[in-house]
Amino acid sequence: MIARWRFLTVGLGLAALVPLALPYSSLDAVAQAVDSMTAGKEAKVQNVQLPRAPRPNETVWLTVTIGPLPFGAEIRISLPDGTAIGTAAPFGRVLQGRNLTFQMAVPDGRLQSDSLAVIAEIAHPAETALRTPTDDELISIEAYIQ
Amino acid sequence: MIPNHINRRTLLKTTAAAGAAAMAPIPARGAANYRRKNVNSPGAKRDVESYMKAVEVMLGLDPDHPHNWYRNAFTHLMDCPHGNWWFLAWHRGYLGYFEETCRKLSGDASFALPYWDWTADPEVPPVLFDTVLDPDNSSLYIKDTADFEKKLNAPMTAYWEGLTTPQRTEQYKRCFPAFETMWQDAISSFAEQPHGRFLTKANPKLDENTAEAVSIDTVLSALKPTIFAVEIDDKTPAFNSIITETHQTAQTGFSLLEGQPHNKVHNNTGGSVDDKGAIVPPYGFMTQFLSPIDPMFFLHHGNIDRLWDVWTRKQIAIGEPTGPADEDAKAFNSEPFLFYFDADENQVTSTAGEFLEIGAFDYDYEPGSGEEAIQVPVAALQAPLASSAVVSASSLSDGAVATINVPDALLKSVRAPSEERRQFARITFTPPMDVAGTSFRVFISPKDVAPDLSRDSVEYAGSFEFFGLRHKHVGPVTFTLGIDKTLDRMEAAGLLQPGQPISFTVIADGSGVSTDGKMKGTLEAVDVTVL
Repeated sequence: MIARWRFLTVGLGLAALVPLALPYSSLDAVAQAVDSMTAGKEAKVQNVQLPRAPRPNETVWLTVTIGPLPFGAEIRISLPDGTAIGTAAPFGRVLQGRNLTFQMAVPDGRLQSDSLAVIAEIAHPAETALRTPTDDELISIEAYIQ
Repeated sequence: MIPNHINRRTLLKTTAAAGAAAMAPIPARGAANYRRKNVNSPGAKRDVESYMKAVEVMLGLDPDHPHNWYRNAFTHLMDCPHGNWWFLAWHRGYLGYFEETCRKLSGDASFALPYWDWTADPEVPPVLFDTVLDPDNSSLYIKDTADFEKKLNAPMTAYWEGLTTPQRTEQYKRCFPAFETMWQDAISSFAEQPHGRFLTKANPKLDENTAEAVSIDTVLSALKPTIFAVEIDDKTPAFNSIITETHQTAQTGFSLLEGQPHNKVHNNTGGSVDDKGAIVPPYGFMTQFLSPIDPMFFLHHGNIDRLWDVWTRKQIAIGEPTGPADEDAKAFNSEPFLFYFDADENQVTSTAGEFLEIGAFDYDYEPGSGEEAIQVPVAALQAPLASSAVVSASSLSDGAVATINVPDALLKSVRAPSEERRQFARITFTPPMDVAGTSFRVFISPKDVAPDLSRDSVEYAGSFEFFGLRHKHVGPVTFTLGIDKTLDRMEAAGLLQPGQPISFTVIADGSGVSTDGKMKGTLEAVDVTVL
């Protein structure tokens, strides 16, 4: 059974965020995540529907929220072709039970459509292979265009 | 088709001819007394030697001494912020006082801390192996936990007993209500030889994921945000990590800079890392809050601080704020940092706002990866207030001179608060073919006054240099230099008078001076403008 991700995107996001960002930039929250699974061994591909395709000078940003992980574990976010987006891994002492957020950026020019597909995998020190994170390990991925 | 492993940095290095011709004006920082250099550059040799000397002295100090190498690492364990918006400011203060201490203990009055540009060189610098900078292969380091306990417990107990009430409050917020809780954290952070560091001389390269985290694409993305910091429920990309109530708040949210290159380099170099990339025991120093026990720490954080400086200059160039938003500034600036020791062994009482600028530490950086993030839109700069009227024919090795007459508008700009008006000089010159290792210094002085051509002179305005090993130039290049501080000094001394001439002297300095000892380049023009 592959765990289902929760994507805490939008709703209030678009209305609330754009005014805050106005002095500096235009910021579009990502719209509804489309939960489609494409098996790739242990990896799960999640398609996220953006409100529009990013323009050439814009960046697609991700906010990845993770739950408590054992020391040494990390969650890797990548594109289906293997291009790394980033890694969610704290440094040093972390308060137990606390969620953490990580800001990441999709490499510029890698997304020309309004659909973003990402893969998350966890490297866990007590396990022998990478796997899909559970709901408690990967809380959400939110995406924005700026 | 470009292979994936060739990143934008590689392309920049190999397409320098086009890069130089199309180079956008880049604001350089104004005069600084100390220059932090890339640890792998030939020019850093003396600083590296002084660093080794200082580390050796600190390792040899009695553990009762606040400059003892391990005591210095405890400052980090007891006070460092991570995953919040004070991360950069706190580490700037930590490195700044450490650098001054190294200057004193090494006896090298010009010492500046080298940095490790992991984007350009994604492997542990060779000098960190088999020297006093190698915690696994130097007999000067404490070998095991028992000896660490024996040597440090009593001095740290005494230090703890002497903490002030505000310092105790800080420790309480950090979840160190008593010495024993802090000490337990220290013991669990200590790494025994030979497990102090995961990467070795035989295996010095960052792993694939970490290399991606330090790639030029990631670094340039990290430099993109124009906002200093945001609350956790505001998803606008920001340069700093998440706003929290105090810097002792446990890790909350990571900016791209802190979460990717910072965390990944710590975790990969500290290791050990299994074949999936997960960290497994035994844990090395760099993975924990006693990470300053590994001398690599200061080279790593020097690069993080350098990128903050790049971001700051980028913000200035595009007219965006370099600090917290007005409504957040009071909370940020007043945060107490109470655990640094200065070079004279005094405990420092400081606040975060003191480290928003490099300030009294008075250093700048030899350019490194990420400088290209600074692109000054031409539209952001006003039309020149003044352009050079006379250009001497002297070579750049002798000092080429351009002169302008000070317009009223420039004087008015200089007298306005610096946050409202900033002044720039655009230096246009045709460089010689080979500029490797050469820095071009700029001095401003009254027309008939020959400037003192040293970096610590009052006439020194700053310097600029090309990035990369080789550039082939086919035409003039323009660099933009912030000249606020120098003009402020001249104004204070009554040397800026309306309509009176001032001179800009540009002189080459460095190993790149061409075969006959003369730079063949030509100074073309100097424009002065304001933002």
